[in-house]
Amino acid sequence: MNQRPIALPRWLAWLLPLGVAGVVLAAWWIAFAKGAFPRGTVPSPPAVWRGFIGEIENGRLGDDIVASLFRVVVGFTLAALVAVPLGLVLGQSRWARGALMPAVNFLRSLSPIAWIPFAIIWFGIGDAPAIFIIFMATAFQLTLATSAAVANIPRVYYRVAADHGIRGPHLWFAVTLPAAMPQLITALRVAAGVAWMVVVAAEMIAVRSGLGFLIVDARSGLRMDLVVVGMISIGVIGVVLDRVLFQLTRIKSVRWGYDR
Amino acid sequence: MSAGPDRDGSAAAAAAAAAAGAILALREVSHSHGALEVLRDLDLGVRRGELLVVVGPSGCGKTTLLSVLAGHLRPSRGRLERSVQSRMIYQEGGLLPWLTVRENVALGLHAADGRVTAGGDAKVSELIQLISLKGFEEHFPHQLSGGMRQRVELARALASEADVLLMDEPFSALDYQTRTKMRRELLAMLKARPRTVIFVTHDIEEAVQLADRVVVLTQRPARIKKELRLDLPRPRLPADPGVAAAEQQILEELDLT
Repeated sequence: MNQRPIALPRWLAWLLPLGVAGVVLAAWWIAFAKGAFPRGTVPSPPAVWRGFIGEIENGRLGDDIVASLFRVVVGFTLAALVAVPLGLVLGQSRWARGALMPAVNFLRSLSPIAWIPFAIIWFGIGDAPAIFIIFMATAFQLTLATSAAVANIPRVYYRVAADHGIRGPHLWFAVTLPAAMPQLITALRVAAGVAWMVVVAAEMIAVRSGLGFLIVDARSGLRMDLVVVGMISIGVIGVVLDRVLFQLTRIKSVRWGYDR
Repeated sequence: MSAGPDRDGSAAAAAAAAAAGAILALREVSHSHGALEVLRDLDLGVRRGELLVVVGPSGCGKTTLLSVLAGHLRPSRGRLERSVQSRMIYQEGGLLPWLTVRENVALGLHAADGRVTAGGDAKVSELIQLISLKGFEEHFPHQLSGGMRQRVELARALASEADVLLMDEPFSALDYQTRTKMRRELLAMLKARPRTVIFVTHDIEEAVQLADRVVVLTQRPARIKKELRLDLPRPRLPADPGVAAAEQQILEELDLT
């Protein structure tokens, strides 16, 4: 039987982080009021608040969030559709690993920012270059993680499968995929986090919409309050995205990968 | 089934004789992993309903022997004769962790050749009752204790029609008390669902508690060093003189005295 540390009560799990946010907000506000920051370097909490209201009312914030999320969802989905099957094959075959792993590692080590020149030349300005950059940033690490998950599946599961007449293509769905699933879900969470970070960078250069563009555009106008509006939105949505993918770990048939 | 040709080695000859009428037998089996010779000239058979325990020094090739018996591994020389189906029970971690207790046991209904044992759900429920895990049907293996997991493994093997159960140190990962209890439960389960068993262990006490016959292997490359028939009544308590004498004899064969 596994013993897990007793989790915080639900209300406390919400209250504690809100308390921390309150303390940070208070410190920021007091420091601003005391004139701790040189003029124009840090906006005041009320200015940021007004910025939020303004961006929501003029509809820009909503549009930017939708634009960024669209690029992340498309780029990340394409990456997963390519990387997971590729990783499953690499994990199963020593030959495929030997041949392709160096290339995967090479591409994985390449900063996604390095693809920006090609992204713009090939795809122009708009959604496509941002999606391409997200794809390049996540596909290869996802391939690597999937292949590692598959390569680490205990051999005994395959022997058990053979003992019970499971063979051929059935093995993919009866053993390989379920056995790799817990690690796969973790890899997807990490990759989604990377995708969300990368979209902001891509939007600063290759697009004229999205939360990344919101930030560079605000900086050009010296609207540091809007820069903070963009930063807070990015952070909050990043946390929400991870919580959404975290729900996958609650599927009963993958709990074994996290509970022991 | 044909007996192997006569040879001088008395132990081997005795084994070959015993193997006549066996439902599962190795004939002059030798095996090497590359340059490493693991098994040498093994003649070993098991009769229907028999509980055969194989003991030997650690690393002597017991698991290789079972793999050959299971048909998972083709020996370098010699052959496997079998007229029956067998099922392997693994040391630990042989349950599929993403399946519930019920699903794991139900997997046992499926044979290696694709045949499905009749009885379905009712049979599975009955077996879960037999291993005293009623109420745990929807639990996953990681939510069970080690002893409970091994009972599920047993139930899975018993769900099949397989006549022979091959058990690879099935209780060695358990603590002493659980291990002792599991031996009793195994015997009780075999009474309820008779099977032929080949049980590999390094635990001499376990061997004597369970076996109808004990085969002692030598250091690698494994050969049969000694065969012991145990007709002692059950339950076999550690303090019984017959039990103690048998344990002593095995210890001597293993050069551990």
